[in-house]
Amino acid sequence: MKRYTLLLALLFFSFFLQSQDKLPSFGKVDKADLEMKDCDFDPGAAALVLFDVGELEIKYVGSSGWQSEAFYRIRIKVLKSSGTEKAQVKLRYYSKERMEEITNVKGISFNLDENGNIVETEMENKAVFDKSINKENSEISFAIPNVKAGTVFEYKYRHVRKSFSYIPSWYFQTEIPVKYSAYYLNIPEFFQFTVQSTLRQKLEDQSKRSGDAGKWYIMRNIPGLKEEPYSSGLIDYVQRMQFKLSRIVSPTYNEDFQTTWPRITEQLLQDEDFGLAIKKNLRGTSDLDAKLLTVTSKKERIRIVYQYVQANMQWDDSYGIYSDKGIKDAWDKKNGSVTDINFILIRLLRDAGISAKPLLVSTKEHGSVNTFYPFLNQFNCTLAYVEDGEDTYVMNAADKYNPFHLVPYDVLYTYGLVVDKANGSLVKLDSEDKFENSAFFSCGVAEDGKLSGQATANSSGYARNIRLNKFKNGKLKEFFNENNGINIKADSLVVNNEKDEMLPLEQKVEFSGSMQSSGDYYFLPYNMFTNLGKNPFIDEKRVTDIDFNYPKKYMVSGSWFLPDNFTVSELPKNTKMILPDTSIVLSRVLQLDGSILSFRLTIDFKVSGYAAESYPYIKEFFRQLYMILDERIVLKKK
Amino acid sequence: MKRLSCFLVLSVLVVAAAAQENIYSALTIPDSLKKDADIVIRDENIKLSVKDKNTAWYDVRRVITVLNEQGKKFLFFIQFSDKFHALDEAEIRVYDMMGNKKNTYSKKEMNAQNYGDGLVPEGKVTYFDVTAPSYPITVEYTYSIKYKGIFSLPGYDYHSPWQSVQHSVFEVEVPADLGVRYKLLNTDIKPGLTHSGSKDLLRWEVQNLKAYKLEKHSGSPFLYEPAVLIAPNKFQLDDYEGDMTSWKNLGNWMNDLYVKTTNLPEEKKQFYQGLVKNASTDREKAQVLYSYLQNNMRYVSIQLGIGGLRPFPANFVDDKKYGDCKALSNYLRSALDAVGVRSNIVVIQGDMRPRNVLEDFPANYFNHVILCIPQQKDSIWLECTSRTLPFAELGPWTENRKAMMVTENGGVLVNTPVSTYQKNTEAIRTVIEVNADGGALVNTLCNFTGEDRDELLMRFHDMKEDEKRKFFLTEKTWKQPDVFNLGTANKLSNPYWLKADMEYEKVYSFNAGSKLFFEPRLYPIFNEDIPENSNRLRDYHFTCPYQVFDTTVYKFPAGYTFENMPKNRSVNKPFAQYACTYTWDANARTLTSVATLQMKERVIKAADYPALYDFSKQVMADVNEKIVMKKE
Repeated sequence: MKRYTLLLALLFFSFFLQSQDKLPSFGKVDKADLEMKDCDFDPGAAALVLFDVGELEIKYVGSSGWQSEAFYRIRIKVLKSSGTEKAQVKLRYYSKERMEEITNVKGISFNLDENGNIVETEMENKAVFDKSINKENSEISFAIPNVKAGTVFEYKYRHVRKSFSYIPSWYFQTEIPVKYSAYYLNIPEFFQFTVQSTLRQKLEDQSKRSGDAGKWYIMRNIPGLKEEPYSSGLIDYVQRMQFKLSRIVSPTYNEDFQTTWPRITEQLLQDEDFGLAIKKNLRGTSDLDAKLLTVTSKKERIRIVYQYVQANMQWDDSYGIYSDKGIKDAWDKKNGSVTDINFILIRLLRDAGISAKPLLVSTKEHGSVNTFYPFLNQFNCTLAYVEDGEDTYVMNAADKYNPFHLVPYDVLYTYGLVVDKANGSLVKLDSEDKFENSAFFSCGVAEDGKLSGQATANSSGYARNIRLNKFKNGKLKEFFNENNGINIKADSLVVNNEKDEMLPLEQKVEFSGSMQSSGDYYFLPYNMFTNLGKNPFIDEKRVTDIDFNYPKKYMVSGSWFLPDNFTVSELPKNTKMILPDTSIVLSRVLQLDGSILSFRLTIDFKVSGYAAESYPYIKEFFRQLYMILDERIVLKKK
Repeated sequence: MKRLSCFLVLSVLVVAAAAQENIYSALTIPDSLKKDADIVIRDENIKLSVKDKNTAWYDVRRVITVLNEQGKKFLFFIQFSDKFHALDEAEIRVYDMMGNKKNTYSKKEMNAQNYGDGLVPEGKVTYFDVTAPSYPITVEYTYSIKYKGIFSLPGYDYHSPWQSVQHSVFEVEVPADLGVRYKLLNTDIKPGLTHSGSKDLLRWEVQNLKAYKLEKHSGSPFLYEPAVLIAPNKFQLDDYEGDMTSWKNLGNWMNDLYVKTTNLPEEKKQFYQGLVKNASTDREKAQVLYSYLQNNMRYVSIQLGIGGLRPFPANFVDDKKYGDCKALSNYLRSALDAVGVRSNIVVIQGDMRPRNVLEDFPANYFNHVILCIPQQKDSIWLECTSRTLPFAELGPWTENRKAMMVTENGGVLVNTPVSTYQKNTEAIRTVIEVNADGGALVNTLCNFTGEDRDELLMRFHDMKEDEKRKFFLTEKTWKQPDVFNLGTANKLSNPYWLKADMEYEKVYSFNAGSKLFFEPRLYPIFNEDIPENSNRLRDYHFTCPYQVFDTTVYKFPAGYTFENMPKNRSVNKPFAQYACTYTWDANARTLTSVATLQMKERVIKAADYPALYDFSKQVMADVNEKIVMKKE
């Protein structure tokens, strides 16, 4: 009887795919797909995913307990020869203790020969390689044979995970367009999952399809997604579904994983790799104790401890909200994950009598936090959080340049979770700080058009680190040479306030060079030392929001001392350019006083970003803004 | 482990001799060694011990002081291991500025993982990043590498730019009956030679070498870094024994690796014979088969078989339609063979900045394979991994260098074609129809051959339309228009062309009152990084020589009066030439500029650098010129 229903289910299953979604079976191809020349909903794409189907079932297997078994099929049409890269496939899996395995890998390609006949080439099993990457992960890799522009190819595999609590996320969207994406989940009803989705297109949620025990999630015609300038990352835009086990309800066992932020906090504090990890003692910090000995100001103590950890620890580029190797081991190696380093910071701050708390955050690259979902996987690292009366400090000692008083730019304006028994809560990581660069200069013009002058530039807030980094890497001096419309070179550079991060980084430059000219006309720019470069917004369309990270302010104030043999033709008009919502303001004021030509240019980007919908306006504004920046003061030689 | 401790004892003795001054303290570095230095090699002992054809040890103990953040990369210890050499032992010690030991890290504590972009792992990498709380900081690296097979032996490159060397020793110990060869590069340091029992010992020692600067575009480090190269006489890899004392013998050994890899089944042979039935000459046949390869095969990295040296059989590529450089070259060789065209595998260094292959010092300089069809004149060279290069053309990645051709009679050194500026040509013609408001309709046609063409085919051709327009503005650096259409040639066309129709609301750059200033061209014709330097030490290297022809025609409507245009300009140097003429035709109201830029040489001698700078300055002056029109 049981066998019979299973067979029926199978029949229904294939019936549905046949009639509704018409997926061809593995060895079959639709000739129309081979003849296809372009993707109709995303023209010009290098390749098109014809279908991407995953079918996952959680079931009990006598020998190894609960596990999930998933079958994947991906069929791709190559439209341009660069799309053949998709036929080199690498599948990562967690291989430690054989927790996961990938088997039954098959690949096939279809081509049309000169006579219009279909040519099939199957991948040989021995052309599939399984290699270990490190202690925990392995990779299956293969290249589908006979793939060129025009080819349709497919690969399929089985992926088994020895776990009932984990359902892999499903990404409907990829960098190339997807015509049909379907995820099938067949989960015993006593495992209940919460779903978190990021969707902009219609999802066909076919939960009630007769015959299937599980549930289908289907989406069609999903365009490709690509990186864009000044974007906080694509992850908030990739259409996907994520799953988290919320409850087990069985006749013999019940557990509620559904949780709240306070409960998460409580659990984390008891976790060996979190709350308890911070309690471990560190040895060999007597040099820190000596530095703190006579310091009583709380702010100064925070600063000293932060700088101590920042200097002594090297970040190994790894993320994760839990301690990786433990703070003792990390401290001994002077090397660790971002969380290990910040646990060390918290430990040492507490030793110094400062109440520091772990702060879970999600960097912008990892995606924004939805505060309604108490999901830990929304976060990707732990920082240190200190409240001191009015002031709060959000610190990441793994960042070699960010000072203690600035919220790290990659979590600015995002939500974090303060993990603390008494005062744990979600906090918005706001800040008043911005990116500010200013430059004052005066420059003498000789009768032959040669220039020599001095400039003082100040960088504060988020601009400070960027310049300091350039300075330490020996790149700051040439940075002052990069001005459009003039040929100047920094002859000397002095940098002040390098050690005091509360003061602007002062950069004093002496420079020399010459004007650009044409006949008797000579040109002087006023967009000096801003390093605004080229207009970044020349993409015609945009999907992601614009993110400048923080408000930015530029100011240049300069004087040109002109010799008698030059006259100013006609000064560019004083101008103010304002975005209608006043969030960007450019102002240019020029004045000629005898032989002294002075000007002041300010550009104020008052907000840190814009919604993608406003891109056409921003694009147009930037086009005009760069046109103004490229204008020149015209001199004529007598 | 035993080996290492024994080695440690030896090096302790050496240290003892120099113990008067503490080499771990940054305070004892003479000022002369700090100038222009990011790091100082305080004390270095390297010993290469060749045991037999199969085994060698490379033991290193190196104490370096990193003076500033720019030397930070020397705090990153990284060693690659593969089938033929493996990191055996490693230890890192860290000292503070005063020379106090702060930390010791064993190999166990380092990170390890497999590496390789291809389908199969190429080996294992061991690494550790030492943290510098402040500079200066001193680290001591002690490690041993075991060589299984001595095909490639490590040499001694003891003095890189931005480093000074306080003391360094390199020793090579080898059984006298086996011997090794050495070659000095950019140096004349003579080795000490001793014999003990059945072993020869070579010893080099240097001290107090001051740091030197590296100028940009200096080409391959092998042109300026002093080094001692080491190569075996006889060697073994897997079961393949070989002799490297002559190119002939090295080539013979390589030839053996290709044995039994070229057979195609009879029906396949007939297939290729069918493909070329209308071709009469070897060149035509080769062209047909190369085009078949480009249209049907693709490059996939699979480094397998005798240290990545033995190719997959031709039949494998024929079935799967993919392969790496060896497999694809070997496949084409077999297909050519089937139609009666003889060709040879050529092993080469694929690199934009290759090291010089020294004729009198046969060794393994190579990392890539191409194919050559020898001809009386103008042999045919084929890059089998490219789907974009025209038939019989190589690019800057393999041109202008010596390589080893593998023949049945052994290896022969050959020269790949010299790149010429005529091959890399860009020809642009632009018409700018200015309207009464200072806007314009612009159309331009750009033709590309050689390196630019290949670059466009690889990076640009397969882009979506909007991405192509963006590329045209960002990479070809054209002035941003308001409306824009871009057409492109098909893949096979040579020259490859782009055609743009653009509309500008404002085509001039800026104005002073009623005077409008227009650019001579809407993109910079010359854009090279040639900073002023009156005493350049090294030759200046371009990627490739090239030429640009530009004709730009401005058409002005009534309402504009001609005010000024740039003077005609002609700059002539032995290695480069620039000429630009400007003509105002008052009747037709057109201003036409015709420019020719020829960068004839790839390498400019250091002594000619002032002339190159002067050339660049004069051309840039023309690039920055303006056309001045007055608007009524």
